[in-house]
Amino acid sequence: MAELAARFRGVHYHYPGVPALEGVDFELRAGEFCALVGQNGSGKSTLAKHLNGLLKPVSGFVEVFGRDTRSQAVGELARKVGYVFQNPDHQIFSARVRDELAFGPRNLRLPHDEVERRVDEALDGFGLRAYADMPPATLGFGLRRLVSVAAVFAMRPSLFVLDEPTAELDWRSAHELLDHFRELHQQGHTILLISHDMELVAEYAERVLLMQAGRIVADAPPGAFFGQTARLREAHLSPPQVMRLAQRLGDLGMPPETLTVDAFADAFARLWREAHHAG
Amino acid sequence: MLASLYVPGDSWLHRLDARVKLLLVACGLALIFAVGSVWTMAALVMAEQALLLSAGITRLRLGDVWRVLWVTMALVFVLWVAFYPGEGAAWLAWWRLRLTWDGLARGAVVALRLAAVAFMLFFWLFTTAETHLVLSLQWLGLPYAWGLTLAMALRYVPTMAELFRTTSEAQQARGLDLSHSGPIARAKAYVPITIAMLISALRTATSLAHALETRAFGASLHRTSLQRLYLRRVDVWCTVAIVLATAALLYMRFVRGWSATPLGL
Repeated sequence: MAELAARFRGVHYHYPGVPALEGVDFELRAGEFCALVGQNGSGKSTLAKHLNGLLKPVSGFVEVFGRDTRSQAVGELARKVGYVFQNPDHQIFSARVRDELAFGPRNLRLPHDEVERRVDEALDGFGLRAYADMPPATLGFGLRRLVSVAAVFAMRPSLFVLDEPTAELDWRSAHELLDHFRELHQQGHTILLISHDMELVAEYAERVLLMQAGRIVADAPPGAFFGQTARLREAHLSPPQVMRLAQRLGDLGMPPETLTVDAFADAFARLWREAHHAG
Repeated sequence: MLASLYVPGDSWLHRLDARVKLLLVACGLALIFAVGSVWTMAALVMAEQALLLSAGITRLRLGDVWRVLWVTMALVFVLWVAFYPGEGAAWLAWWRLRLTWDGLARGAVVALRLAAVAFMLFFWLFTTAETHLVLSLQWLGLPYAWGLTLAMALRYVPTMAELFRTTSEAQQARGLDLSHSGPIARAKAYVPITIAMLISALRTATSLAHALETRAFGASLHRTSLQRLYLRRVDVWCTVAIVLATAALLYMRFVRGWSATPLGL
């Protein structure tokens, strides 16, 4: 059985007077690329903040890599869990990009050489070398987003929690960012992506969780997940456009679980060839 | 997250004209700074709680205010007691510290005064819509832009509190340890939060200024207002009652010596 990155058991949490999680049970296996979707206020960010100990369950428990989060400080969990916040400006404070990337590793009390090595790797990995000595606050939004991600990457966590990382990014930047995480996933990292962009979820995730009113109400691979039309409608979600098109072309032989444009193009080419040979 | 300090409602305090509430706050503040008895000050704070509750302000909201206030109140009390020994016989003397009942009562008066001032201002802020708040300041002769600036500053208090919380969470998620015991180490730990918050606040201020300008703020020198303040009969009676009550209490305080000493009645 695969190692568990996180385990939620009967987790309840409420803000003053407002219930947020109402009995969450799920397991996140190490090495998974999992997406968490749902309407605003459904409890996605609250659930995610339980992974790095920013929130502790009112009842139930959360284990991260086998250890109960209630007995660990946020700083301790930061070694294992990297949390990318929705707004990069909530973390940027240093005078240089290089210092911003070094902040996390220094907090982990790593030796100076190791900090420098990680900063260099993060600068190269995210294409930030040219901006290393610039004040991060003066960069454009896309670059600030990259700095915030690279700063978390430099801490080398095993589990990345991405809270709407592509919000306000253009199509290309969003794909470039998630390509980085696909690469990290292929290297064995666990990724939990919170997103409202169903196209990106379909393209990158291998498992999708749906949250509604503080509970996980659906848990399936993307193909099967987006096939649950009634459930999606209830949560005010719709499958990616390309999948809807594939579903409408089902009578012509198009597989209804076609999730991406590339898969659609391949299937279409195959159908075209078959039709050509037949006729 | 709270959108603003204003709590929508239709209570007697909400319905009271914004200018009358401003008068109530001014008279209340005069009284708070005039009286010096710990008993009167405690009674004032309790009366304020009762009035706010009667205006539909929830205990939860009052609790939020207390959560912010109590640390400052405790600090003020400790500093006052430590540096002002008070009059009368000391019942505890150790090194430079001299504790007297008078000194303790004076410390309590100053700490309670802080709460009394805060809740007095919340009479106005919790129950007055932003438009009425600006109109009442304009009625006092303040330029519209000043009133709007104050209203917006107040509107952004909860936003800034939320920004502080989120920024703190973002830095802690990168391993920032806020559990240092020494005051200097603790202050240093807050530097990454404060700077990130300042940058975000400046960015928000710039966006807000642009948003105002793109909606032609300041283009017209003579503003008209869709909403107006109307003084009803009950507002007039309240004004008379507030003025008379304040005058009577100030007379009692300064002529009759009521509530003049920390432990006196």
